[in-house]
Amino acid sequence: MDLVKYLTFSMILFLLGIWGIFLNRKNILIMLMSIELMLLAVDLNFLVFSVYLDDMMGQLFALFVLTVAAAESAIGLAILVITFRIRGTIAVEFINCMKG
Amino acid sequence: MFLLPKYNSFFIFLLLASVIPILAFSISKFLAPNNTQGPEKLTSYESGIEPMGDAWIQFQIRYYMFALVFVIFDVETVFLYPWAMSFNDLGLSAFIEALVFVFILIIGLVYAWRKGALEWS
Amino acid sequence: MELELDLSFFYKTTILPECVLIFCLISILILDLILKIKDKNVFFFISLVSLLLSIFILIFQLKEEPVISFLGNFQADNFNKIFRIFIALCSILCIPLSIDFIKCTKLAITEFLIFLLTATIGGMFLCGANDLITIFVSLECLSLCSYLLSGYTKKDVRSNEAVMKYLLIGGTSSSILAYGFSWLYGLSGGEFQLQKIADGLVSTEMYNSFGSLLALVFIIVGIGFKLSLVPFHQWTPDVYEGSPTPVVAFLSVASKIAGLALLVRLFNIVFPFLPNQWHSLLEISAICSMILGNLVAITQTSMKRMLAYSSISQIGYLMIGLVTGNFDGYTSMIVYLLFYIFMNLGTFACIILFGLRTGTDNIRDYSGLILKDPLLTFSLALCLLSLGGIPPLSGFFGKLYLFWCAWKTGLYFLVFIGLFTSVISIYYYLKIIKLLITTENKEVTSYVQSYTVSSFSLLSKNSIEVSIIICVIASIFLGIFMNPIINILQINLHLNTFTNI
Repeated sequence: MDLVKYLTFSMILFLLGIWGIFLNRKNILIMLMSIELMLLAVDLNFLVFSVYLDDMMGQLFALFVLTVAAAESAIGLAILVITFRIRGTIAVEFINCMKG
Repeated sequence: MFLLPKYNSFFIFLLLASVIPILAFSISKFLAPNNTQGPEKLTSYESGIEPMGDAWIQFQIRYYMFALVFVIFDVETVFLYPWAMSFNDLGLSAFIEALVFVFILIIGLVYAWRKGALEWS
Repeated sequence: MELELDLSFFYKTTILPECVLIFCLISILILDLILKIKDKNVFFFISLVSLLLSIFILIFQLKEEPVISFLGNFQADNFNKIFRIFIALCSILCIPLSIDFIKCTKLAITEFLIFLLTATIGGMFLCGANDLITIFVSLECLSLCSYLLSGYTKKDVRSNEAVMKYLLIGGTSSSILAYGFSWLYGLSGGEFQLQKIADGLVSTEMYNSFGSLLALVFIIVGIGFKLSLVPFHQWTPDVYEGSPTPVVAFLSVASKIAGLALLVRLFNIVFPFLPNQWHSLLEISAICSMILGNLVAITQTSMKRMLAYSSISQIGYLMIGLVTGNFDGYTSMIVYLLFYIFMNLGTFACIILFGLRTGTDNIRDYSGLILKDPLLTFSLALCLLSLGGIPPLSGFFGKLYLFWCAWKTGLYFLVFIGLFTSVISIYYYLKIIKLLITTENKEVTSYVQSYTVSSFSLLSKNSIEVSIIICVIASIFLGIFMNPIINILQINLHLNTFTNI
């Protein structure tokens, strides 16, 4: 069935995003990109269901998810700029001043 | 699901668009002489003049400010497009709601302006 | 698709409290842009007045019938209204806490208020949201503002690290939640409103399939991150330690209230046919939260980290009411939530005051505080004892009612774990209190020596002290008036459909 292929594809994208966050802890930019990837996989899932069910609301949700993702990545970039200003690096391995 | 006849022209376009750059690069590779591999060949091309510094430079942090403001306002306009497409069906109340939306966006723009996010200095 | 947009103007009174707040927010922004007001206290005054106004509107609306407005996007029944009142109450109590903090650290006041009010609005919309889009957008409205607030002291390395962790974990959790929503949307055959999703799942016969279980698990994980339930709690101590303390005070109550409201409504309306699955999942996480939160809290040396683990255990206690799952269970959960707001905010207010005057939040540095400021010691001790659940205080009555309701429904194991962990929590709260009042080795720490008490005239009380007094009085005496509170809640809640199980 066609639907299963598309759903599998979006699930693979989603799992890649989770993998990028929890296993690859090297660079904050890459982690932000992984979050974007996860949200885009959600978008794809909604669009596939929307086309399959012939219903407009899924595409509407996809628009909202896109906007929220843009706002989130804007905040992430702003935090990144501040981190670079006060630390001089954005590598994750140096961010460990709180332990306990 | 997406294999509809109305996508045929799109697929032909996609095929053509991907063939053209491959063709261009392969022709130049086929025609070019490959016996001169001096150091000049490996430097980055800067419209004929001597290249200055490395190609990997750090961008000014101000670009990020513009990028942030751009990303937000660029994506918010997505909501105006469906409203504009069905403007005639929705009537006055949707018009007022869109005005409120644009008003809030304008407040955000004025805020960014007053706080100096749009200054280049 | 039918669009009845002309009707939407008649529904405006259902979101009138939020509209008041939005109007206040925009007017603060415009006033700050146009006028160069030197005395920023005007903005605090405006926001406090508008929050009070919205609480009054909500209280008057409690008599109205439950109504679903905005084409089914927003539901206003008494359950939601009580949670919306709680969120506005947190905001009112948190704004006085932050005034002096912001003045001392010389940060911008207007933006702080705007973020705080936007987070409040997001939380209030989240309590009443009735379809997936509204839930997602208002949740993001709440959590994006929380990120910005927790990174507000941007020169501080620890605050920056806290906001980075919070952003990454929060973004991950909300995308997991949205993925669960997309499965719900697909399996129910293209429905968006909560009630229609449940009907759609039944009509497509997908309610018992693997897909709906997948959606359930994704949604529990997503909300569990927001509520810091135990398998998903790792971000909480770091964020609590790094963020500015008034922000932590707000986050520790407001986001929990909004998340609980979302959890209760979503699961009761959408998954009524999988009750065993989600009840057992939540029960496991409640047990883990209570045990792990209380055990790890013993070993902490920083006050804010200790309170972070303490709040993890408190969310475990609140989960007991949710797992109980009947009318009494929900009532006891709401009562304990009300007490928790006052106890937790009182504790945080004392810590903020101490931190502002000495600049430290280490537990060790609190020793011998009673010599310098008996009043602060007394209020901090009372709030901590109330959190632990010592008999005459209100925390005891809240826990008693919660455990009693769970005992009646036969959740004996959960109640035993709750009682046992309460004893552990009393141990570490008493350890701090002993440190506070101990004066045997006459040498007080340098931090306490540098502590200066402001003059004791009634007129020059600063705003933190006002907030401390309100919270301490509430956390002592609210327990005595427990029966009237329960009666009011039961009268208001009996109209709800899902609490009448």
